[in-house]
Amino acid sequence: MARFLVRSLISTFVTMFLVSVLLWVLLEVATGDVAVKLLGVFSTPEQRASYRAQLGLDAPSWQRYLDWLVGSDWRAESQVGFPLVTATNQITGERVWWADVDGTPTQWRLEEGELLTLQLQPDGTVATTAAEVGWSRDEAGAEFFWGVNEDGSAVKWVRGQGAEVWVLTKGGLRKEGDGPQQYIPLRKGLLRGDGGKSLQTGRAVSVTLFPRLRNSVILAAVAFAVVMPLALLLGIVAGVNEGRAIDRTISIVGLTLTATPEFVTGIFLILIFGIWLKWVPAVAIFTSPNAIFENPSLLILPVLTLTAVELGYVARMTRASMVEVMDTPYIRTAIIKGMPRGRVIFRHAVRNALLAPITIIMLHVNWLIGGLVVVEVIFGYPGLGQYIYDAAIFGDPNAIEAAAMILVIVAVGTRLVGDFAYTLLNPRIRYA
Amino acid sequence: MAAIQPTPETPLGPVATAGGPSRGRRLWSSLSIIFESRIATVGFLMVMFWIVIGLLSLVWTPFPPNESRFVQNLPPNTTNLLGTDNLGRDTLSRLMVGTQVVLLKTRVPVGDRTISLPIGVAIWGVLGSLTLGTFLGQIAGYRGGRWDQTIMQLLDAFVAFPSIVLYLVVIAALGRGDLVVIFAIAITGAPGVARLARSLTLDISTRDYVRAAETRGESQWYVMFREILPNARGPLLVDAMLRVGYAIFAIGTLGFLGLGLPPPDPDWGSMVNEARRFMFSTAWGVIWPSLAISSLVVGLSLLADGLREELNRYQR
Amino acid sequence: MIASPTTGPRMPVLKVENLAVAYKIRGGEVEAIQNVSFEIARGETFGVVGESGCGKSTTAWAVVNFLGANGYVKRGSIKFQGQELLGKSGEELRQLRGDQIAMVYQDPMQSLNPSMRLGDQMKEVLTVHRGVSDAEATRRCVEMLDRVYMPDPAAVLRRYPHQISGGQQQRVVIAMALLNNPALLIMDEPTTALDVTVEAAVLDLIAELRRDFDTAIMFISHNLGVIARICNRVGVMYAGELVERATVQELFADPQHPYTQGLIRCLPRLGADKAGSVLYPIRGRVPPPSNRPAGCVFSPRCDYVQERCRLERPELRQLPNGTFVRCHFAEVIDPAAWIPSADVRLIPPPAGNGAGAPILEVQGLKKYYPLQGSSLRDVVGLGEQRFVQALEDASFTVHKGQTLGIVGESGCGKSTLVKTIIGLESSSGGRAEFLGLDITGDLSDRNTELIRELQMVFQNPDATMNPSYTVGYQIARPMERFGTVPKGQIRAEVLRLLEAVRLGENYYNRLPRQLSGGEKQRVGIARALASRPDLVLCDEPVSALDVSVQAALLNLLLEVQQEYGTTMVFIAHDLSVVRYFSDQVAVMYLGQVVDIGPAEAIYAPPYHPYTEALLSAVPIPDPAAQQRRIRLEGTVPSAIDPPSGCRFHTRCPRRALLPDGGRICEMEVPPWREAGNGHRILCHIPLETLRDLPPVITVSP
Repeated sequence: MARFLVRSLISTFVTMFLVSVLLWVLLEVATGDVAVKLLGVFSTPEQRASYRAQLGLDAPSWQRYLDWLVGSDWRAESQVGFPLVTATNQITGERVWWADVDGTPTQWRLEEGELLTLQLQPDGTVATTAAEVGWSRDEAGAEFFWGVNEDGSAVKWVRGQGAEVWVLTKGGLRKEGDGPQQYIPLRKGLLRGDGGKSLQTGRAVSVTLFPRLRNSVILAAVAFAVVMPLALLLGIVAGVNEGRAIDRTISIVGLTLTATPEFVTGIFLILIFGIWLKWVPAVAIFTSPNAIFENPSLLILPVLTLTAVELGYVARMTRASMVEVMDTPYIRTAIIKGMPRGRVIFRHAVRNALLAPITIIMLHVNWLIGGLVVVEVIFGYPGLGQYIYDAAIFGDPNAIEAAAMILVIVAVGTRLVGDFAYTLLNPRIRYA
Repeated sequence: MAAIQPTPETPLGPVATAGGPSRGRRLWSSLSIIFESRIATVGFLMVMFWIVIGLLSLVWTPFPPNESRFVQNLPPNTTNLLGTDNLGRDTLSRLMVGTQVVLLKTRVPVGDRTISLPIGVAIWGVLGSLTLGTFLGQIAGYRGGRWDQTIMQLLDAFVAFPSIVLYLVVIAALGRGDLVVIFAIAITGAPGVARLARSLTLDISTRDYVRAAETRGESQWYVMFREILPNARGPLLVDAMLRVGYAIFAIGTLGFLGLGLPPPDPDWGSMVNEARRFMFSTAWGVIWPSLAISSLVVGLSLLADGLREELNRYQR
Repeated sequence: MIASPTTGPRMPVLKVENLAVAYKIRGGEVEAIQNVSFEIARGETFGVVGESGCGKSTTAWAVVNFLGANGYVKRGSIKFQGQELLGKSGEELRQLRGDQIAMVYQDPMQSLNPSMRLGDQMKEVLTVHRGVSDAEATRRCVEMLDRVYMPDPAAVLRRYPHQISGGQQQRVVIAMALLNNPALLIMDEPTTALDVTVEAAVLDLIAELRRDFDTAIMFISHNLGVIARICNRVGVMYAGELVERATVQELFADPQHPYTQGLIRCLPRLGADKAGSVLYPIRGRVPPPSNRPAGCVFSPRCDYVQERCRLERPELRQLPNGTFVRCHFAEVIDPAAWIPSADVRLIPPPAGNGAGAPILEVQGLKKYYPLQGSSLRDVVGLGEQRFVQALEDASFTVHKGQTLGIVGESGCGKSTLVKTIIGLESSSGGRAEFLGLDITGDLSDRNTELIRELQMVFQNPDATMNPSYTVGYQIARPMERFGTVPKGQIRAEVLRLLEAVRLGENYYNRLPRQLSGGEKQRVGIARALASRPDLVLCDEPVSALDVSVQAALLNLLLEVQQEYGTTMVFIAHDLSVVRYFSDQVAVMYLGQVVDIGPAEAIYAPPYHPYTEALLSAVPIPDPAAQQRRIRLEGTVPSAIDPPSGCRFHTRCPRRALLPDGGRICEMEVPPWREAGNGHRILCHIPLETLRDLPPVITVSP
């Protein structure tokens, strides 16, 4: 057992690491210029370069990967010279970075060539004063200052060089002069629970991701709760009646359901129940993230769609396993011992027959996630699947990476659960 | 007592059949296994139906598939047997041509031009994962030890990675194109093939004929590819058939998500996606391509299922 | 115990008449068995014997009406305690099964449910059929397990099948069958999967239980020795028919049917060797049910066949001595006047017996497999590294042209020894030289020439050939690989080898699935010989085959050995076969050679105590033979932590011969004792004492 746990733990971390690197490389190689996507095709190269610098995208790829993994405050701290701390913004729930100047959380802002100090007061308000800090001088004689700005980046301000930057504001791009020359976007890194900010929305991934995850978990859990008992039951019924009409029916229907893509099933369900029968709303509009709690009927069609595909698969797996078990010598023994049929099936066969499907079903969770993406897109369901879809289409690295990490944990976790259940059901391993 | 004397005879061999079966006959006998099973036969006919449709569409369709020459969103009628789409194109013609990209041809950009290679995207993709997966699985299964651990760890990482995300990222990043889809299918399918190949290899390598090859001092490559692989072929091919079904499934899904094979040639998933917006006025546009995908995948699954059953019976 | 009052003491418990069972197959049906009639009385063991595919098991399944979805009883009647079983409803049958009729079959591990505790599996027989309470059921199960000499029965009830040994599993299965004191017990090859010493103990148990419970037993076996030991009456089955039915004494002393005679002639008698006796295989093979001859089913293989046999199917009829036989000419056939066919002849011993130079010398060879621990300490690499000591100190010499036989029970290290010699595994210590070249390393350390010289014949006919290639290709491959034959002559050489293993030219293009088990083994032998090796290792080459095929194959091996002058190492668990085939014999126990010497010396006093026990356990196909009864206690200890001193001391029945109850056996590794003529025994007991022990087996004239 110890070996099993240690191995699976190591395997989980190795897997997550490999996946994150792989995705990173893929996104690096493939994604187009994010600045173009955000600033539009009519932006000038200077504007784009400036914007990329603000996002820290001008750093080398390995540097950004490390920042993403273990955080950037380490290297920023040595520049700024003050300890860097975070405080949570009460309104957005996001993390805000401050430099800890003698116990006071401090940020800086350059306005009209003058450096201002923003100090976080104990009551949550921010006091703005003129900065008293001295500028440092580099070899070339330029005066510069490393501090933390309001966007949560460590910034190198250089005085008097008239360097211009382009800042994206609500009103569009605005040119600011005399400004920051180097940025290190501050983050704690994934290992310390910070997934970074979404490039697309500018909001912290951790804040936006979890409500989506919750919605998807509800959807998947309900589907799972519907599928499992039903599929196992159908599989057992078919397996016990191998070759009879009921077996053929269950097998063929199961196969057809499995072989039909989710979008086809979903569309047919909408057609039948939404448009022709009008039993459920054909178009589900999710007005708020909590819509499914207010109107659970919104779940019906997505759940049915997911169920259809999984049902056939699991039922067929169970059937195959049941057929195999019913053919074993120990079932023959039970029958020759004069055990009633029900007892043979439920006491002797089912437990052994469930061994094979359980591991396979758990490995099948990826398939379910694939289905989730499609189902959420069809029904406009605000879940993880749609989040991934949007992030992938945009090429939003932090969002994709964060979602992928969650998916890996789900996949590895379910595999572990499957292995564990297998061990529980199989005394040959339990008492090895 | 007059004892009957024994009458020694020449030893009885089983009825001798001179020579081995010829190549053609062997091919026929492996094909005829399909018709042993009713399920496989039905599946085979369904798949053949689409292959014939696809071949036909190469030389003839009722109307040019990419020309808008009718009223938009027509229901089935005598001119347009399956109706028309939102741009007034003939649905039947588009449906027929849709077979080509999955089963019959692959479009490869060469310079400015696009040339078509035989065999469809789904099949190339599966061939890719079959090659890669078999190779890795055999090494893992036969060599064992560190090779096994390393390869399986890598594959586990891949398996933990939902294929849909990979599809989305790869295609969103590299752009739509037949080669990209083939690549994505090959990569996502390889771990599954590798697992199967590994377990088959593990099983087969316990057989005495593998010991015999080893005691002849055969190289590891010989043992893997000449002794083991030919005996793993059956299950791998059945699995590959299922995978072609899944690949068509995946291509359809990508098309539906708007990331399918590049226009203008129609693919079924994209057809569903386009018609979806008009579903409330006319449902025909989504029904036909949906049925096409389902029937082709069901056909492949039936064929694979029937074959698997036959193979099992054959081995017993 | 429910004895129906209407059932007289002599009324048969089971009476089967003219039974025919048919299976539906694609495009028709085949009759698997036909015209089977026999009866079994209370307290009697009726043996059913015959080669595989003759319908023995089908008969048993028909009795309990468990023929699968496509089988059914086509004709005849099965009366159990006077009532007809055919036509009974499923529910009536269910109540009989497990209560009045119980069944035990071949592989105990397979027939126990792996995921249920043994107690639950046993108790349900009582709770379902007899409605007893759980506590009462537990009590009775413990009692019954005690009855079958299961140590610590209460604990066994809480275990799972995989947690006890094969012999113990079979005891559980037998105990489970006897729980309701059934009137009829059907045993289908109950000891075939067990080692010889375990088999002997289980057979003792069955005989004892039959006496005590007065059960009628139908005992199916392919092993004539087992049948001779345990049965009162025997039915011989051939190709779906019962061809002879007699008391066990009559059957072995005076077999009437040519098939029975042939079967007995196939067997090497324990004590017989190749220099003094010949095995006579039955030619041809058992016809499949779909292709049986029209007249007498045995006629195509019968040495006495007449025109009438081909045309007219004989009835089962009673002879004056009480034996039933299905043969037109039983009275006129005199087995004593039987003349072997010309192609089976005595192989003259090689000139200058044992004079060849040593070709393989092994000294203190060891093979340890590292064991993976599962505790946390082991995982992080702090645990103590432990080993399975599969091979510990094997020493022997094989001379050119001779055969060394190796015997021992499963797990004794026979196979590891062979793997190490052939190079599939490298050894962990000791010395091994082949023609003066070091062979302690594995194949990667050996050059092609050395690899060519050592070849192997394998056990399982179904796995020995690659299903994807033709016979010709598989025999030709070693020639290509080693370049022993010029390219142009390969085909001719393959054909010559096919001829040498008695397969014709028309086998060249066949695929393995078109061959029978014996034919595949022949190809395996041809393939091993193709590189013209000096040493061939045979790992149980005949143990998976029927006796008549086995005899033919042993003859073939002797012939090719003589023709090619090949040296052989021959592994088998059947002591009679090893005795027959080998010049030298080594007996192994728990990774050690404990007894080695010329074959005749091993099988006569002075014995190593383990050899003595093995000989005592061998089932002898002769009910008149006397065998001293020596049974080993307990099971073979684990090779991870083998006993100190003499590895056999935990089970040795002869320790008492030493002063102080054999304390020395636990403390010190025993010395090799030279018994003369190269016979060496690894034992603390002085040779004189061992010499005084009487022979284990005495065959009365």
